Amino acid sequence: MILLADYEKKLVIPRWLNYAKAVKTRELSCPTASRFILSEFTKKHLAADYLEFKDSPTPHKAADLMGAAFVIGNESIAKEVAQYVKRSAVLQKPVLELANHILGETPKAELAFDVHARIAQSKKFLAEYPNNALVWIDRARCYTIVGQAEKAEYCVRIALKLAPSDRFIVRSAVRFFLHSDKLDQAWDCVKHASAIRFDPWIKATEISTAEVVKKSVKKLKGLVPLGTTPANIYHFSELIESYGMLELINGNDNRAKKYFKLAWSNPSHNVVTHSEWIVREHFPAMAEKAEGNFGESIEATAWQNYYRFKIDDALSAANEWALEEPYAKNAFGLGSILACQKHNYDQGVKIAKEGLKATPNDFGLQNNLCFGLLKMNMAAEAEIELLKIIAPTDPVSHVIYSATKGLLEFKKGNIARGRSLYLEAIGEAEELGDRRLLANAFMNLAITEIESNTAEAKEYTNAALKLSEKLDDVSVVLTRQLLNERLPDLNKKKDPLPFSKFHNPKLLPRP
Amino acid sequence: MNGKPLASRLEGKRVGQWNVIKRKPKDAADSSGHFSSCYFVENDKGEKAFLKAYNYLYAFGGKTGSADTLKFMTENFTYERDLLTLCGNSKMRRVVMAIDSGEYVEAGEVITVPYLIFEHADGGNLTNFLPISDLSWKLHSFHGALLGVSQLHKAKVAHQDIKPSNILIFGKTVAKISDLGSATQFGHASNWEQIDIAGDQRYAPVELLYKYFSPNWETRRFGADLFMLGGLLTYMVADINFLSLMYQKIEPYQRHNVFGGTFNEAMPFLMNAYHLSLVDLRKAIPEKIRDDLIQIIAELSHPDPDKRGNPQRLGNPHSQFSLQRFVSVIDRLSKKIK
Repeated sequence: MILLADYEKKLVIPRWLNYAKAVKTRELSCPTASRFILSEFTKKHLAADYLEFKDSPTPHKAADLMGAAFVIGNESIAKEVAQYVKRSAVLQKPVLELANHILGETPKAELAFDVHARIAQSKKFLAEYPNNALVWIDRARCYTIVGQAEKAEYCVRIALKLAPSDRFIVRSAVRFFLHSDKLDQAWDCVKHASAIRFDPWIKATEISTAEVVKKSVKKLKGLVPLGTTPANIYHFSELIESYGMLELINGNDNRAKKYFKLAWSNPSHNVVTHSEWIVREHFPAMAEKAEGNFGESIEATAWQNYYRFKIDDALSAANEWALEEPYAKNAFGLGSILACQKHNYDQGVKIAKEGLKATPNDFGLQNNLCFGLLKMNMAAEAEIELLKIIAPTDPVSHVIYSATKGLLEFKKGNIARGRSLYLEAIGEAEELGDRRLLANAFMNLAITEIESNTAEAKEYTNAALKLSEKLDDVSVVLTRQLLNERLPDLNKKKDPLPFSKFHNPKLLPRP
Repeated sequence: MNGKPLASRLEGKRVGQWNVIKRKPKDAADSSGHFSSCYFVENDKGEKAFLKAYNYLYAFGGKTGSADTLKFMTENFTYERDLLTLCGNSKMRRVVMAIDSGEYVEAGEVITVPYLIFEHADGGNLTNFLPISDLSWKLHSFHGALLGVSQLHKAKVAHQDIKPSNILIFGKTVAKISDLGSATQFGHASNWEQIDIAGDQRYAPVELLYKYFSPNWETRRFGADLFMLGGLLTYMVADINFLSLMYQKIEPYQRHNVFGGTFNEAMPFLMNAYHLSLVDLRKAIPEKIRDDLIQIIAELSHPDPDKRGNPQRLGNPHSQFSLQRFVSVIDRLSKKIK
C-alpha cells in the first residue's frame, strides 16, 4: 500500500534553490528607499568621454566608456557603445562578453546537470576562493541531493560562518537543518540571524521554525510597517503568511484569513505554495483570492492537479518540482504515487529511488519503492528494500508498513500470511478511526486478492467497495478507480484456497 | 558680455604668458559652464602646456547660484594649486605638475578666471596607446602610474579619481598620474571630504557606491585609490575595468543604484562577483605572469576595503595600503613578459 506524502500542518518553509536560480527570483532583492544620485562631476565626464568617443572612436575608448556607463546604469550609452565593441577584432574576450551581456545576447550559462560534476567544480573553485559563502551553500545543496548529509552540514556551517545573516544563506541553512531533522540547529541559526538585523524574509523563517521546535517568537506586532505599499507587500508576504498561520494554529480563523488575504495580494513563491494548502485544507471559500497565483508555484500546481484528479498534469508537475527541489521528499513521494496510479511502476520505482538519494531513511519513499517493485512482481528486490526499513512508530505509517508487508507475502505466494498482515493493517486503521486509511487498506487488500486470483477476492472487493462508497477523498477515489479496473478479473477461474478456514476476516461494513 | 562664461571662451586669448590655442575636444561642446574648462596653450618659446580654467560663474548659475558654491569653488582652486605646489616641492616625478598659475582678468568681465597650467603630455592619455602596445608596455605604464600614486600616498595625499583618462603619457614610455582636482590630504581636508564620492562615480570603489564609508581615513581614502588602481590595471591588461566586470556578475537589482541593503548585506554577492571576475580574468592573462598578476589584481580590487591591499600576515613588512610591494612586483612582471 502506498503512502500519500501530504502535509498535516504546512508551514511557510523556504525553498532551497541553487544560487544561480535563486538570484533570478525577486526573493533576494532589497528595495531601496533613496535613489542613488549621479554627481554633476560624473555626468560631465561621461558626456565628455562620449563626445570624445564620437569624435575619434577607438576600441579601447569604447571599452572604457561602455564599462563605465554600464556601472552607473546609463543603458543608452552602454548599449550604443556595446554595438561598436562587439565589432572590434582587437579587444579581449572579457570585454566582448560584457558587450554581449549589455546587449542581452549572452548565452545562458548552464550549470553542470550532474550533481557530482557540480561538486567537483565547486571543490576546485573553493580551493581557490574559500571565502565565497554562496558557493559553499550551493555545494551543501549538492551534497544534500546525493544524501551526503555530513559533508553538506560541514559546508552549511562554513557558509553560515562567512555570512551569518545573509537572507539566502540563512534560509538555505534552515531548510537544510529541517531536512536533516536537526531542528535545534535550524532554530539557532535563524534566531542568530534575526538578532543581527531585521529582515522580513528571515523573520518569516524564524516564525515557522519556532512553530516546528515549539518555541515562541516575541514582539511580532508592528513588524509589518503601516502603510506598506502593495509593491512592498511582496517582501513582507511570507512574514504575514507565517503570522496568519500562527493565528490559524491558535484557532483565530478570522484573523488568519485577514492576514492571508493581505499576503496573497502580492505573494512570494512560498506564499503561493502555502496558499494552495490553506485553501484546500482550511478555507476553500478563499480559493478565488489565491488560485490565480498557483501557476507560479510548481508545488502548488502539482497538488492542485492531484486533488482535481488530473493525474498526468500532476505527475508532470511533481517531476518538475523534484527537479527544482531535489531534496524535497514530498515531490518524490507524490511523483511515485502518481506513476503507480498510472500503472507505470517502473517510473514510480525510479522516482522513489531518486528521492531516497537525498533522504535515504524516509519511510514513505522506502515504502513506495517496495510497493512499486512488488507491483512489478520483483518480490526478491522488494524484500531487500523492505528489510532496510526501520518499523515506523507513527501509527499511520505502521498501517501502511503492515499492508506493504502483506503485499510482499502475497507476491511470495504466502497468501494466508499476506492476508493476515493486511488484516492487521486494517485493524490498526480501524483503531485509529481513520476512515480514509481504512478504506485504502481494505481496497488494496481486495486488489491484491484479485491479482492473486483467490476465492475470497469477490467477497473482499464487495466489502471494500461498500466501505469506501461514500468517501470522496482523492486517495480513496483513486484507489477505488484501481479496484474498479480490476473487477473484470474477478470472473476468472479461482484457485483453491488452502487455508481459508483460518482467514475469516472481520469485515468492516460501517460506511 | 557673451552668454557663455569667460572660462569657456578663452580660445585665442593670452592668459598670463600663455597663448590659448584650442579648447580640449572633449570639453568643446560644453557651454553649460561646469566647474572648469581645459585648453591647449603655448608660450612664446613654443613650449606647449595644458590650461585648466576655473569657472566661478558656475556658482551663479540658475540652479546652483549661492555664496556657498562660490566659496566651495575658490577653495577647490586654492586647494589643488597648493597640493600641486607640494608635489612640485616634493619632486613627485610621476605626478603631472602645475608649471604656472594665476587669475585671468578681462575688461568688462566681473568675474575673474583662476587657472592652472600643467606640463604637456605629448602622448596624450593612456587610451591612445593601448591599441598599439604590448603587455610589457602596459605594465610598464601602469608601473609609472603606480609610482605616481605611491608618491602621493607618501605625502598622505589620496588621489580619489584614478581612471584611464587621468594617466598621461610623456614621450612614448613615461606614464604619470594627473588631475588632483578631487585629491585630499590627511590632516588638511579638502572640500571633497564632505562628499560621499569625490571623483568620477563610474570608477568609484565599490564600498563607496554601496554607501560604506570607513571611519578610518586611510581605509576610506587610500583604500579607494587601491581599488581604482586595480580597476585601471584590469583595464590595461584585459580591456575592461574590474568594477564593470564585477557588475556583469550581479543582477540589476543588486547594483548600488537599486539595492536598498547595507554594504555588509551586499558583501556575499559582491564577493561572489569578485571571485567570478578573477576567474574570467585568468583567461585574458598570459600564463607566464598569470598567477602573480591575478594576485595583484585580487589584492587591489578586494570589495572589502578592510581586506584590500597587502595581506596583513605575521612577518609581512608592508602596511595594508603601502604600494611599495605592488610597485616592485609590477616592475618585475613588466620585465618578465618582455
